[in-house]
Amino acid sequence: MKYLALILELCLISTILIIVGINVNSQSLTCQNPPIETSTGGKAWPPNQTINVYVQASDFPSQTERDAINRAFNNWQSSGGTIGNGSGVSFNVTFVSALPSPRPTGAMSIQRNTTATTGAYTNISTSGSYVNDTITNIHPNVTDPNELAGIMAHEIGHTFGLGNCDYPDCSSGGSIMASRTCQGSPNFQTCNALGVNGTFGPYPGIQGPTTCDNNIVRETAGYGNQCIDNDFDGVCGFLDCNDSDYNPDDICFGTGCDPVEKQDCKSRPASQGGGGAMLPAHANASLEPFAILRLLYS
Amino acid sequence: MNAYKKTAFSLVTLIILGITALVAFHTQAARTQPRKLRPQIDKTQFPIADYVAPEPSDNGERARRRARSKKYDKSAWEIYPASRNDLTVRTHSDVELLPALPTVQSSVVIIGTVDKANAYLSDDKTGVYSEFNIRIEEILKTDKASLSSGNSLMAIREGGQVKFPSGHTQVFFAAKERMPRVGRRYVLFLKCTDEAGVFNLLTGYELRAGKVFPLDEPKQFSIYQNVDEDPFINEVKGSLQTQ
Repeated sequence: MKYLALILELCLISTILIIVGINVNSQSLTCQNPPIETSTGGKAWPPNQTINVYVQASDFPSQTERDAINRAFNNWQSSGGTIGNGSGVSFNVTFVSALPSPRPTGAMSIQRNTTATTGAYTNISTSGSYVNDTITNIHPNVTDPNELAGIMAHEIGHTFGLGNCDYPDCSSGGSIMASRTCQGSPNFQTCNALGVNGTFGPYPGIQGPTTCDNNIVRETAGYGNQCIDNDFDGVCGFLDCNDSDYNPDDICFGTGCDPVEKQDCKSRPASQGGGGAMLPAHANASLEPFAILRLLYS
Repeated sequence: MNAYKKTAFSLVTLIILGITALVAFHTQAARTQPRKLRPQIDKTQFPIADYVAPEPSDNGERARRRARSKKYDKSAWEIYPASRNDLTVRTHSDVELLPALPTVQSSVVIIGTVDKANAYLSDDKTGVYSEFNIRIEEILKTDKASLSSGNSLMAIREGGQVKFPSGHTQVFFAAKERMPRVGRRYVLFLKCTDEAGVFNLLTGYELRAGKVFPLDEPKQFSIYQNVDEDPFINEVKGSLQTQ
């Protein structure tokens, strides 16, 4: 009788756990996976690094603007833990009278710039396997604190290897990388006109990374010393040109496969993405305890 | 007692079966997903500017080059010769704001082949831009009487590759913009500059083996990926007629 009660108790706990698990899974489905930033190869800040963020103080004079910028960085920093993206990256934000020039390694500069016709853009410089330094330009018309925080968080997402997620793949609230100019609009010309007129489209509706954003950052950057077998070949990381199961038809660029481009892959030197060098964080990776659960619920 | 045991056994069996089915479903779903490929950028598409290239010796040519290069001064690229970075990418650019067929935004639309490509630094050496000499095959739209089939024009796009005195090279480009390739044939959407025969490249589509391939990556252009060339050209012409 004692054992029977124990078994029934275990059954009850298991059932509750499964129900909770399914609920967590269905909640995570409400977010949307952004693409990897193809142009940088998904490179991100080195793990566990403190990034010095220099903000042009005269461009952001009000406390509400400064709070908005700080909020975006805080949201990314608080997502850098084990249950987030695992980056361990922290940000040291300071408002300065002049931005450092040239930019030091591991630094991010932020200023206002009328050339940011899409609301904002970031110039991301990479060296080796990582992001080295960046400068973000935000249009002077972006003054609403919620919009400013959303745009800033979106640009930070780029520095973690995430690309823009266009409608309808991403919608407001699903990913911080949802493209601002086309939120919820099925008509590209109509929604793009928002940007052209200088009024700008809605911000992503959130001010920090979603679960999906963190999952993609973790997988792409290889944070957390984990092994993700992206191409299901039994080896950590993405498919590479010299993998044994490499097929020229596998190599795709951007929006579609280009039969001329894909033939370039095998002859390309390692410095240009060929040669099959694996992302360093993956090279000595071991299977993280939560990786299987993460895969199941991603 | 036996009834309790049976119930408990059945419950445990059901739970185990459920978990197994869940794991199997997810594993199968994972296996049927497309293979994720590490994104790569082909640097060979970017013309190279020599950081210490001498100015043209001809006075007129030198003045023209300086005037053109000045437009790219005070660039947000911030090129540093001592930099060890291998590439600098701009996350957003105006190409994202264009419709798939930007006939309204273009002052000139042509079909042509790229004859030559070169890159140049801005006058203050903070920026870089690429120039493409295009041999015109057919003009679909123009407000310039000077343009005609068989002639050439110059298309410019910001970005390019810079070779520093150390031999180190660094690529500068906008994330979703690509460079036209020498020897390939394109439909190009161009915008006038203040210089005769020189245009800014808005976007384009490559025409290859009877098919169409967008030059740039924003999603709106992908609707013409791999479509047949003739219907595409007709659609561009139709779009021009309805303006």
